Order: sequence, then structure tokens, then C-alpha cells
Amino acid sequence: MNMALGWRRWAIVAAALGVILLIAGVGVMLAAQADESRSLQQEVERSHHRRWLLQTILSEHQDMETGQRGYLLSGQRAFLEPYDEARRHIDASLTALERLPVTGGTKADLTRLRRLSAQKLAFAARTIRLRQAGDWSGAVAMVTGGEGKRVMDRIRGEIGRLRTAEERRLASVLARSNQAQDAMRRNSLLLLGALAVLLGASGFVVLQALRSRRRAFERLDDISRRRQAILDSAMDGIFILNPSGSIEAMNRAASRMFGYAYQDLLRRDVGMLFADQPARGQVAAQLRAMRLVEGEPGQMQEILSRRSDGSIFSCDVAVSAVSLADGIHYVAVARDISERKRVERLKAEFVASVSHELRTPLTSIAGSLGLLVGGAGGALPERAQRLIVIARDNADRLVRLINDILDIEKIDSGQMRFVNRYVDLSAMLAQARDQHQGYADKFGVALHLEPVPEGSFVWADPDRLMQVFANLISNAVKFSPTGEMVGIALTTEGGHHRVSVSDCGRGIDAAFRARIFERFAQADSSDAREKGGTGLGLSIVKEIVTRLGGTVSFDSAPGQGTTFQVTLPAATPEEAEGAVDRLLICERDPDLAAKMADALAGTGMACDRVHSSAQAMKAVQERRYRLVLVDSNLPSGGGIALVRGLRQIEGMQAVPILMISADKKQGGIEVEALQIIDWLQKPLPLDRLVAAVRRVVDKERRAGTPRLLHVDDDPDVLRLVATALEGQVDIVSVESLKAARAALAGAAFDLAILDLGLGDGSGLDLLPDLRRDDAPPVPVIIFSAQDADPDVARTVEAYLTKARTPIERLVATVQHLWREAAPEAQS
Amino acid sequence: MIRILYVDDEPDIREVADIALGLDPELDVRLCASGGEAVEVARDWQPHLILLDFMMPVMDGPATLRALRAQEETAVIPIVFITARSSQRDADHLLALGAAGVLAKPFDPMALAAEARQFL
Repeated sequence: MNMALGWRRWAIVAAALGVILLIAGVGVMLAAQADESRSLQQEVERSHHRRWLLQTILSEHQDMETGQRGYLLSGQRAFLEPYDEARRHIDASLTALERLPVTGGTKADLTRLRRLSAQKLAFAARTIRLRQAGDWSGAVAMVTGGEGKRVMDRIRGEIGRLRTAEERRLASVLARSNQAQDAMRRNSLLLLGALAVLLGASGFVVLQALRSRRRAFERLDDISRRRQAILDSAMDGIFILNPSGSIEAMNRAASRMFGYAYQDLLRRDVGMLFADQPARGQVAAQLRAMRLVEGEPGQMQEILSRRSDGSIFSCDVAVSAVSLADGIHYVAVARDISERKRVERLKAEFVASVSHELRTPLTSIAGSLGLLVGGAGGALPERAQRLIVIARDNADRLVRLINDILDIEKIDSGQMRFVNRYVDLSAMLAQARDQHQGYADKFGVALHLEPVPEGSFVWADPDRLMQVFANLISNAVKFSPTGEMVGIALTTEGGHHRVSVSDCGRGIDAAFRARIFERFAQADSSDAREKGGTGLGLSIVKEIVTRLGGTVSFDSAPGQGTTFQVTLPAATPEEAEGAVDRLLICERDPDLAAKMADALAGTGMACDRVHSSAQAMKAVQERRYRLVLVDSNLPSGGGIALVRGLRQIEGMQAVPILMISADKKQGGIEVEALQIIDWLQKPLPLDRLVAAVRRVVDKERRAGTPRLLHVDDDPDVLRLVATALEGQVDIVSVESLKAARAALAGAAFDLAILDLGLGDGSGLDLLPDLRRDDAPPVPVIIFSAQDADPDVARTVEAYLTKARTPIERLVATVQHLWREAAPEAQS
Repeated sequence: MIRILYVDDEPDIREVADIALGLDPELDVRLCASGGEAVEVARDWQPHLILLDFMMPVMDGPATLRALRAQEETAVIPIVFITARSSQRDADHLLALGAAGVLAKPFDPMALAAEARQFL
């Protein structure tokens, strides 16, 4: 198409040049013709003048002769007048004739004529002089002598010849001019013909160009209709936005998705489609700020959108830029994801409910089998015992599989929560080793933890990190031959801690390496059965480590074993020291103290161990502890004496203390006053210890979140408020005064929301309970259907009327009161 | 004797739990099949601890907890949820409702008694 356009353009240019040249040629010719005819006219005029002069000269000679003869005959002077006049004129006429441009041959003729004229005049003068002298007969004799007549005849002949020559010359000039005119006419015709041909040809070319342009337009129209058809059949809404953010074009899906007619969206600011209705031009400003580059794939983001009926829905929108003549335009592709979101929610609910449905029968199965294996059903025959162990192990495996699937689902839906804190890897690895000792014994594999420097801190969720180590260690044990050893080591290098778990197994096949972190990846189909894995462990490990900002890798040589390495960013001991929660174990038996410390590593707390009251008193003055465990059977005075001493120390009055005792809990007012939180009985199951410590720590941690009591007899209102405040407060919802008092007796609250009209009284009846002398007053929000009574409103911090208050305002009021009440708790 | 009330709508699980808790000779166990029954039994029997299933028909665990809290005689009895819904979010929600603790299903039958005792 370009080439065709090319030659047409050149043809049109050439034709235009030709036309200009031809017109110039015609012009030049016309100018030449005008010159020619002017010179011809001058020539003709000159010729006429010359002939007239010749005629005049002849006439004057005749006049002169007539005057001469009249005078000669009559002697009257009157005849001399025309004679004199003729003489005067003859000279002038001859001079005029001579002055005219000379044409070939006539110069000599003119000279001859002047000579003849002079002869004639001289002759006439002689005769006149003779007559004047009175010699009439002499004069007549001269005349009759015939000389005058002869000269006159010669003059006449000469003039006649000159005139003939002049006429001939004129005729030839006219003939030449005719020839030139003919030639010019011919040339003009030729040029005009050429011009006509050229114009015809250019007309043809122009017509051709117009036709091909029409065809191009038709093709263009075709293409654009085809494109529009593709756009219109797309399921996604597609918009083209101009640089100022107005909608320039869209497809059918776009107008359908947002519920507008095409015309209602055209030229409107795209902001009208956003749920939050940004100001005109704001979206365009944001688009400009994104600095999109043409040709790069669009950026995808989720945008809350608004339909014409005001309903809100979620859209995935990909925006890309396209540079057009009038600035950067944007192509926005919007996909309605409300259905996908619904499906995702359904899926999450489905997985959660499936897991529940599976776990319910499993609880019975695993429970029954566990009881049987544990001897609760009495001693079993050996063969039955073996079978029951198999059944129990596989029930456990099913539980693990369900847990892994749930973890994967949590990872996929972004719901896996990480509660990070500073974790000491040395304690955590010791705990991981201890937890897997039993498992390793079963396989006849030794677990060896290389000495790890204390204070190797990372910022991580201890539960998740333990999950990672558990997966790696149990894998290593599973794949180790009996009698071999699994090594666990920690190295620190360049700001990273690297935990490696090595086995002496058969190594990882080259073919399997690439997909070892994929889900349900197992080296071969027999593996799952042999080793009892789920095929999800390493995939979960990788996800968790990645989320913790670390990497996981492995080295493997066939037949020589495999080493997995988890690398995590190291936290400096200084930053960890201040932030990590410390726990002091004051236990007479060092072995038991060590066991307790290992067991407690999973709580993320750093444990310091002391073995006497004196050491304990010294330790609490050097460091701050979140919790102290005291052995009741300490030397020199026992545990109670130590607690009494600790409570005297500044800053230790409120620190929770757990007593570990071989005896029953001691009573008495004095012991109560020491505020020992819990008494744990020896022999101490370590998991009970961990649970008790966790309980205390969690309670302390939750102290950062306000505890809110909500009293309302409408369960729907309770649920609504609980949902709105979820994650911001720990809320206890009760429906009666009685329940509220019970809740207040059991725990302290930071805020209260009260309804007035309750089944067993008014919420205001609780005010004395909320403003006791021995505790800081609890801020109260009345949230009631009744309109505010000014007397009541003065006594509380806020009064909100149910129907008139959007739930957001209630949330804002809660946040405001909590900020005012406890500014330091918000940090 | 320590009185423990176990509430679950699944008869098999009730039986397993009964045996598991019964391994501890100091525990006196009573079983309830629904939240409504639990509210009544708890009022009269005054257990030291209530182990409460989360998912039950008609009156689920949280509703039972609210009913127990609303009843003066049972308002301060520690309640521990036993749930197959294991997410941290669920657990936090239950603790926020005022539960003393959360135990995961399936539980280890040999350790159930010890786990329950730690909430006393």
C-alpha cells in the first residue's frame, strides 16, 4: 500500500510540474507572438509611411513642376507660392524618408532620388531665374529641351520602383509573419494538447488515489469494526482514557459491568466508577504518578468500584499506557472479581468445614486408638497391640495431612498469621532436638546438635520456625539409614544465621531436585507409603522461610546424604536483648532447670537459670524479667522466702511468679499477698509448664489491647459491634446485668458499652461497678435506642443513639476513648 | 474430686473423652450432649471446669458460653473450648469471648486430663 501511494504521489508531482512547464511554455510563446505582431505592425506602419512619403515626394515634385510651368507660362508670381512651398516640403520629405530605418538596397536608391530631385529642382530654378530675368523663350526652350521632363520621368520611375520594392518587402514581411503565426498556432495546439493529456493523466491518477483512499478507508473501517467486535465480545470491561482521565471509548462489557449506557459514560471522568468517588482529575493524576511506559504490561490492582445503582463491587484493574498524537492515553481492563471472591470465600469455608468434618471422626478414632495403645483398655495380645499401633500411627498421619493441607490453604489465602518476636535459635534448636529424640529413636537414628553460641537471635514467629525445623529434622530422620546420625548446626555469617540439618541418606535424585519444594512432591510413589510423609512439608517450609525473609536451599550428593540450609537475617544481640522477653528459672536441680529451659524455648522467651535464692536476687537486679519460676524447695528458706524477697525489690512487685512445688499449694493470708499466680505440681509435665507460661505471657501481651465489656440484650447488636471492633479490642459480650457483673468480677475492663433497657435493669446500674474506689474508672459509652437524657449524658463519656449512629462512629468513639485513657499503651 | 463437665454432640467423642479423663483418678467427669443440657447440669452440679465443643447444633459453643456467663451460678466457671477449627484467628476469637483456653481436636487422649487440669 505504501509503494502504491509512493508512485501515485510521484506521478502527481510530475504532472503538476509538467502542467507548470507547459503553461510557462504557452506564456513564453504568447509573449513572443505579441512581440512579433507588434514589430510586424511597426513594419507595416513604417512601410505605409515610407510609401506615403514617396507618394508625397512625387506629388510635391509635380506641384513644384506645375507651379514652375504656371509661372513660366503666365509670369504671375502667384504660381511661385506653391512652387516655393513644394521645394521646401521636398527637402523635408526626403530628409524624413532618409531618417526612416534603412532596409537593404534602398540607401543607394534614396541617394539617387535626392540627386534626381536636386537635378529637377536645379533645373526648375534655372528656368524660373531665366523667366524672372525676362528670358521667357530661353526658359521655354529649356523646358521644351526635355531635360526637366526626363528628370521628372526618372524621378517618377525611381519612386515607382521604390514603392514597388516597398510593397514587395511588405508582402514578404506579411508572409513571414503569417508563417510565424502558423508555426505558433501549431506549437500552441501542440502544447495545449500536451496540457490536456497531462491534465487527463493527472485526473486519472487523482481519481485512482481517491479510489484507493476510499478502499483504504473501507479497510480501516473494517479493521476497526473487527477490533470493536473483539472488544465487545471480551468478558472484561475495557476503557480507553484520555490524558485528563475522561472515558474516550469502552466496550460493551464495560458499560454492562457498571450498569451505564454507552452515552452516559462517554467523556465522563473515570472517577465516577470508583466506590470512593474521587474528585475530577484525581484518577488521572494518580495514573500520571504511576509513570507507565508504553509496551510494558499493565499494572494490576484491586479497586472498589461503584455501579450506576450505587452498589459496590471489587474489580481487578490492569492499566497500560499508549502514546497517541494528543498525549498519553490509558487502556484500563477491568475484571469483576466479586464472583471470584465469593468462590474464594466458599473455598476457604469449605476447607475449614471439611477439616472439621474430618477431624470429628478422627478425634474418636485417634482417641480410641491412643487409649488402647496407652493401655487404657487393659493389656492386649502382642499381635493386636502391633495392629493397633499401626492404626494409631496412620490416624496420626491423617491428622498431619489435614494440618498440612490447612496450612497450605492458609498460605494460599494469605491468612497465615505471623506473630514475630526475637527468638534465640540456640534454645529453639535444642528444643527441636529434644522434641524429635523419640522419633529418631524409633528409626534408630542419632540426633546431634553441634554446640551453638547463645544469643543467636532472629525476628520470627517461634511456632512457625519450630514447624520449619520439625519438618526438616523429621525428614532427615526418615531418610537416614538405621545407625546413622542427623546433624543440626548453626553458623553465623554476614548478618545471617544459617541452620543446617544434614543426613547420611541416599541423597536427592537430580531429576527430583527441581521440584523438591513443590506440593505433593515425593521422590517416587513408594516414598509416601514407606516414610509416612504428606508431600507438603518442604513446600510449607519454603513458604514460611520466605515469609520470614529468609531462604532455604539444599546440597545433596547421591549416596552421601543431604544438607538442608535455612538462612535467616540475624538480629543483633543488642536489639534482641531489649525486646526479647526474659524468664528466670530458679530451680535447685540444674538438670531439671535445663529441661525446663529447653521446653520453654518454643515460647520465644529467653531463659536464664539460677539455682539458689541468692543468685535469683542478684539476677533480677541485673535484668528485667517478664516471669519468674520459683522452686518451692530452694535451700536456705525455701521458695516462699525468695518470693517475699523478690516482692521487696523495686520493679518486681507486679512481675508474675509461678511456684513449682512438690507439695500442695500453701495457703494463708501472707502467701496470698505475695500474688503467686499459679502453683505447678511436681513431678512436672513439661508441656503443662509450657502451657502455664504461655497463658501468663499471652494474658500480659493482650494487655496492650483494650478489654471491652459490651452489655446489650439484643444478640444481633452484640454480634454487629463485636464484628466491627474485631482485632481492635478484646470484647466480652453479655446480655444481662447479672452476666455483666460476673464478667466484671472475673476480669478488669478498659472500656464499657452499655445499653439502657436490659431485661434485668438499666445499664446505668453498672456505673458503681465500673467506678470503684480501688481501680481507675472505666470509660463508659451508652449505646441505646433511647434518646439522650442530658442528666445521664453528663455522667458518661459518650452517649450514642442506636438508630442515628453509624457503626463507624461507635468504633471511632471507642478508639478515641481508648487513646485518651491509655496513651502509653498505644505505642 | 475435681468436677469436669464435658460437652460434645458426638457420642463417640464423648465416650473417648470420658475414658481419657477417667485415667486421672482425681477427676469426676460428667458428659452433656448439648449446650442447653450443659447450662442446666452446670447450674446444679457446679463443675470446676467445663470442656466445651465449638461446633454443635442448635446452641453452639460460643452461644453456650454466653448462656453460662449470663447465669449467675455458672458465670465464673472456667470454660475451655475443644475445637477442630484450628486457626489462630478462631482461637483468639474464643479467648476474646472469655474462654480460659482452647484445645485442638483431635486431642491426645493420654494427655487430655493433664491438659484440662492446667486450666483449673
